Amino acid sequence: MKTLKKYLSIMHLGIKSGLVFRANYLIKLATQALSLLVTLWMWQWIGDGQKSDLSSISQYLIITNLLSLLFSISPAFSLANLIKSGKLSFYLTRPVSLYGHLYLQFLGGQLPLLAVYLVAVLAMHLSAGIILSLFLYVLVASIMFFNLMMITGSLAFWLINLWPLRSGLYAIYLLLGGLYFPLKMLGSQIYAWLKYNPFSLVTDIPANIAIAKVDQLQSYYLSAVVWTIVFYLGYRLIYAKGQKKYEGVGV
Amino acid sequence: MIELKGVNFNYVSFEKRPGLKGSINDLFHRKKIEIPALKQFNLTIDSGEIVGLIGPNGAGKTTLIKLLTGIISPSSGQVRVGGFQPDKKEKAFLKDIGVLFGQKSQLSWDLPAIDTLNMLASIYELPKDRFQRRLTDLATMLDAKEIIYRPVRKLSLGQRVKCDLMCALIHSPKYLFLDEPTIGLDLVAQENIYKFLRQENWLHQTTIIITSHNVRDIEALAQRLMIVSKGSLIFNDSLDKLPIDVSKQKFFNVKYLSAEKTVQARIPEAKLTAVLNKVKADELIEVSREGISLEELILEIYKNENS
Repeated sequence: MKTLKKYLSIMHLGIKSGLVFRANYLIKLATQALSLLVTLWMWQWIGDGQKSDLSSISQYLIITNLLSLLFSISPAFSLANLIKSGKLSFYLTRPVSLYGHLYLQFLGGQLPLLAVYLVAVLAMHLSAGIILSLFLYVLVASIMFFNLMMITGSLAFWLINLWPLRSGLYAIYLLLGGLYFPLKMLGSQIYAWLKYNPFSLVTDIPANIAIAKVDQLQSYYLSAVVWTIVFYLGYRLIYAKGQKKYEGVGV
Repeated sequence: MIELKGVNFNYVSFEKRPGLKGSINDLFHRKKIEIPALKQFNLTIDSGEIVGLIGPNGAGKTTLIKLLTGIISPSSGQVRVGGFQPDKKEKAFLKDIGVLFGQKSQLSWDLPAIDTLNMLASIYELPKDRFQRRLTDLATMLDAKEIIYRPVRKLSLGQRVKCDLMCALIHSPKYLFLDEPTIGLDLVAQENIYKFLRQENWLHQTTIIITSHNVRDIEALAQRLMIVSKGSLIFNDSLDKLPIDVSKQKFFNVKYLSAEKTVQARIPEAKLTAVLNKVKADELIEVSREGISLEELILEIYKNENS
């Protein structure tokens, strides 16, 4: 009970911090919407009047872009900043897990986005079954994605500046996550492998769940769980090695 | 009790060769060097003591604090704080320590300090009534009742340090580590913090280890002075045991009023009596022997170490 309270208080602080930056939220939503509009306009131009395809692509892209707001790469850079600035020292001297602290803080910061998702879910008239499976799947996928970001952030023990990775990581996300085009367009053979990549699992798969185009949901759950274990073990290993290099200095 | 036995700590760095050619060579073959920060360091601090650590830049003071709090592990040797090995980061140990780094803040920049304090209360599993009592006590002693409700970014440096100090003390730690706690603070804020720390030590027998470049911090607080230089402890005793050799100091600084103006003179020992005889008692401001203030003595020790 005390442990739960401990982490809920961290999440609470995350929510408050998130709400302080309400202008940032709006800017984030606006820029994502702008990027989505450009992508949709591009598809309209390419599709040249094939309305059925365009409607399906639009629906897919709206969902993947919305999901990309939730599955943010920011935890990687939060951890990297703590390492670089030496502020990690504060987390190392508190009786709380750094991993739990960062996850709950991130989750708290993302909670205001739930309002956006609620509107989206209502607008899409999804069935209760789909909403439930989507919710459970997104929860598992969020833990998986967070672990991947923790691995990325831990690289800051070796790399002084992690920011050059940001654009590369985002480019991979756009491509493998299906934020520009439905991954199925790459052909069924390629898609059969590509759909299990961590970026696709957080955007392409939940988007397909939402538009009820997914069968064998178990295989996606399984791959998300396997990736979670792999990433978590990878994070523990990299973090343990990195912490030996940590000297607590910083700017 | 805090104990260090034969502790060594080396920082790893890389030697940068000069010029463009050197930079290109460094891309492929970087020369790793180990910089010793602490060398065969032995130390014992009893519970309830206030110890002042002082030393020139790069002497190893902050490294010592990082070792004692488990932020880094020693290259060799043994560190024990209250029976715990700090780098194992056991929860019971982490609940016993409080840390303040004067140059870094653990507060959420855009939120009031009270939000961070509430979170820390949960992290340290403080019962609600105990937390409220402690919060009131700390806010009263530090005159911070109002500032904890303002966003941290709106606070002055002194106010921010007060809030950080509250964060370091909210769980009543047995061991308090303060790294340059008065950096950038004005004299009034410094005095308030000294008064508060003395009270905290007296009321709760908190062991306080304070590192500083500010000799005032040490004079005002420390029962024991430790001077660290080049990674070694070169003085470890009470302040009044500092090696004062009065016979070496032959000059006096005399300050007095003459025709409503302040006169300051450096007088040799032989002429002191004659000068003092000419000055009326109500015009005399100060007489001090040169070279025996704590600051001067420490400076002398630093110089001898470097020569």
